[in-house]
Amino acid sequence: MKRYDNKVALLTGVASGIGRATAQRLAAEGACIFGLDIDEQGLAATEAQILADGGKMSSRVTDVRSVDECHAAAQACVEACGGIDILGNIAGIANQRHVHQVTEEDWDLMNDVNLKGVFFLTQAALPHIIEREGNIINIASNAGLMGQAFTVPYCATKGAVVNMTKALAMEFVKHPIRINAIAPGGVETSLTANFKVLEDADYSLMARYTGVRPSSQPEQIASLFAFLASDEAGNIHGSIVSADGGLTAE
Amino acid sequence: MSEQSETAFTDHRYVGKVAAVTGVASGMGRCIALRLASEGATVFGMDINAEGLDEVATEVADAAAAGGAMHTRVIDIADPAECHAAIAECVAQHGRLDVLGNIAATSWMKHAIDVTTDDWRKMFAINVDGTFFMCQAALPHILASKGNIINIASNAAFMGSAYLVPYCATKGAVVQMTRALATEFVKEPIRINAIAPGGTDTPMNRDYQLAENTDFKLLKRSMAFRPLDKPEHIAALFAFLASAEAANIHGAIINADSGMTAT
Repeated sequence: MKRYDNKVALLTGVASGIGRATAQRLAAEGACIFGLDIDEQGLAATEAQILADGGKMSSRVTDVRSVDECHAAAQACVEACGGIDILGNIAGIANQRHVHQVTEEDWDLMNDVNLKGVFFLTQAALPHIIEREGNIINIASNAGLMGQAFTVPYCATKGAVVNMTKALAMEFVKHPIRINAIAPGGVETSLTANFKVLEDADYSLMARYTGVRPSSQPEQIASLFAFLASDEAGNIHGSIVSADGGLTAE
Repeated sequence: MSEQSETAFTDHRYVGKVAAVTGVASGMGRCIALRLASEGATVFGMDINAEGLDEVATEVADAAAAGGAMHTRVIDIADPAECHAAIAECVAQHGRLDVLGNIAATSWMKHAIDVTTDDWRKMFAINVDGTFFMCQAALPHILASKGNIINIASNAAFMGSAYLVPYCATKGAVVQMTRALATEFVKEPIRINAIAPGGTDTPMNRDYQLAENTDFKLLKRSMAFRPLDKPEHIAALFAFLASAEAANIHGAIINADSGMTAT
């Protein structure tokens, strides 16, 4: 009996990075994955890989910025897999800007993907999570716990995810469900590979959030996710688990 | 062990590993010793309670799998010389040290006004001195094995709990000690973390006696909505965190308190 036999995991951002690694890990432990992403090609590649490895996965191209799509995706998951045991809000975007460069469009995009999408998919999934006594894991960031220069909108959204996780944990503390977040540091993903440092960035300010240890691998976040979402972590609720190679210890 | 065999992701993650663990005569320490041994670890179990230690050693012998075992040493961790002697014995016996678990602690409730000098010094000697000097003694061996250290802190490190002033102070110290150690050794291939449990169903918790004339309004935040946690859950988290699965978790304080510190 594997930890995730007969469990359904609804995951966002599974076309790459932490989302893909998490989908692969949970599938390897027996879960049925219902994977979402806006990147149709990457999503199909993840699904093909999991199926080739003998896992179970179906997918739906979804733009988490749309409330209607969040609800439709949760519904599609229930119809395809019979329910939802685990929701993993993994999709996220990041970029560097000086404050004066941030446009309304930049701000709205960051908020819609990193915050609004997380909230409304959670809202859509909660009745099903309660029915199965399941749990939710949000991917926050060390940026939600510290001030990082040139990433003000990103820090704001991740700080919001941290406190949203705690507020949700309190609102549902009397229900037999769990709601937690993981706060990774730098992870080798397409998000960080595509992260363009400002040409005129002050590196002394960036040094405060540049880790001494090498970046984490997405598989390391996936192994924490797989522990935290399992029954083994039955008393972990409302926690923000840092997995950042010591960056936020200082 | 029935609780564990139902839920454990048993991978024998600790085959060939040596874990020195304090406070194993009862509660979380006992469950951690059982869990690690069941995954193949050789546990060097320490406690001041000789009788409890013997009982747990028998339990571990029954539960151990994949070569797991437990050796014991009666120790008062309040004495730094004993901490160093115990770690030296562990390494002399087993040739290495991969994991140090600082679990032993003491706690009681008292009005701050009634806390004596001896009370204060005793709590610090066990909860803070014991943790630090165990780390100090173990670190050269942990560095040699590229191992890791886990300290048991408490939600009391993050909440100002009435009638628990010395306990809160010691657990706050454990949290910051863990973070400072993590930073000091961030360039070394070792990991140092802490777990911050909430109310857990252990003898320490069951033995709590309320301070005289307790004002329950002041204990509001300490009144959990969920039932007491099982020590087996702390052991499961410990077994994950001290394993290679948690290779990028360093300097983290992991709350495992059923939501108590979410508010």
